[in-house]
Amino acid sequence: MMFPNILFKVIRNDPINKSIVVKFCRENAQKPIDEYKSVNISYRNIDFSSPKAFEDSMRSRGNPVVMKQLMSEPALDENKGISEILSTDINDYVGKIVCTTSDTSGSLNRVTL
Amino acid sequence: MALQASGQIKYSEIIAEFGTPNSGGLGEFRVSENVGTLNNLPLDSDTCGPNANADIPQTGEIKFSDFYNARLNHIVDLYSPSVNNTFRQDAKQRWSSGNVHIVGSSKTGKTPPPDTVDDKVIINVNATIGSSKGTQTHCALKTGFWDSGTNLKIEIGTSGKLYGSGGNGGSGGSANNGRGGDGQTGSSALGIQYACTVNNLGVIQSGYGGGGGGGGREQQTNTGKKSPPQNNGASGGGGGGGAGLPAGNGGVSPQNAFGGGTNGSDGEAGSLSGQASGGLGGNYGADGGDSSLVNNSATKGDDGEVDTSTGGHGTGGSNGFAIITNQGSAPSITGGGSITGRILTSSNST
Repeated sequence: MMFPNILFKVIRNDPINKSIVVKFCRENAQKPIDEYKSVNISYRNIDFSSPKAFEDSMRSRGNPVVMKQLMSEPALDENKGISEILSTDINDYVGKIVCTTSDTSGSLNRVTL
Repeated sequence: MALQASGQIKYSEIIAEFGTPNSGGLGEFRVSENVGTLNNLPLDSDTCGPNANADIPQTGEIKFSDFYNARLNHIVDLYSPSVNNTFRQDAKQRWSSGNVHIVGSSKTGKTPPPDTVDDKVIINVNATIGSSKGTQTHCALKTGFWDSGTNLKIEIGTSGKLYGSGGNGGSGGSANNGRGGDGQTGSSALGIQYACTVNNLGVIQSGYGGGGGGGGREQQTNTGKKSPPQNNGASGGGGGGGAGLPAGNGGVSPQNAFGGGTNGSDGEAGSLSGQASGGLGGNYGADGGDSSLVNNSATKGDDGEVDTSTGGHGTGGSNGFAIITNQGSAPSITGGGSITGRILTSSNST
């Protein structure tokens, strides 16, 4: 799976309690980063060994955040589709919006050889 | 006891109330004292004389009738430097411990009487006072319970600051599907246990609740056709610490991730007057909730992030109050100081 580019902005640094407050969003987010929720990250969960390591660790921390943001974005009314059409006749699909959902069950279809 | 409102008034009654001047007579009761943040105090003010609307004169002519309705004035000391940065003061206890100035005592040597029946008591605050954590009704300053007929006022100077304490953030859930802890409640600033008026030139601020912790999560991932599935666990983030004095600590996130899981982060530590962010959960865990906004209407800190695949989120702690009064309505408040937080009536402070 390809992850989008991630932006982060350090809002506050608290060296006493060894943590930073950060905002994340994806590069092609549809609202400014300042409008997203802040989260606190402990220094111990960040790799400060090099600038590259720091950015990588921030990207690692930010991935689940931006995926949650992506999944919580509302669908446009114009894009709301029906869940399925029980047909293999392609003519039944013409002009209709169909929503295909991810199968998170992990089970495989049985195939008879 | 207050002096009579009309009829013959005797010198012996005046000195029984205010003490005997070290030298001279009635004229010695023309005083101007500076006590704490209160300047140019007369022997008694506002409610004296035949019409119960005057001060005891400070200069010029002074008559027996000026003493109609006059009361002994006590100034409770919550202004001395030793009070600064203390916690949970009780004004009546301060009075009982002798931390009180009797107006006019510079001329009479009058010492505090055994009670304050029908006297005027002014609680003068000019120091920063905090509360204690964990109980919503605990206050930075309580008036205490005063004797019947006591005329009670609270005068908060420009350096007088009363703060409820912030609640600690809830802990993050353990990586093995642990539930996030609940945020701690904030406490309160001013507890009124006896009817009074308030002149506030300083700060009265509620304590605010901590955020709830985020849940931890354990899950299995398949690693290949011939390998057993791998267990992964990520801990939840801690809740943010609530605002107040003392401020709430950030909730702690357990550092017990395993497999491909990552550790969550602690919640942000609280501050005197700001909202603190919840800690970021590990890669499968949920984030901690933010502490409460600091305003006049918020009721609690944020719950931890709702994620049903985790062990569950902690709830945000309730906010304290700027003022808790056992009276049926809020006190009369004057002055241009700030009051931040809610006011609770008909309730007991502790």
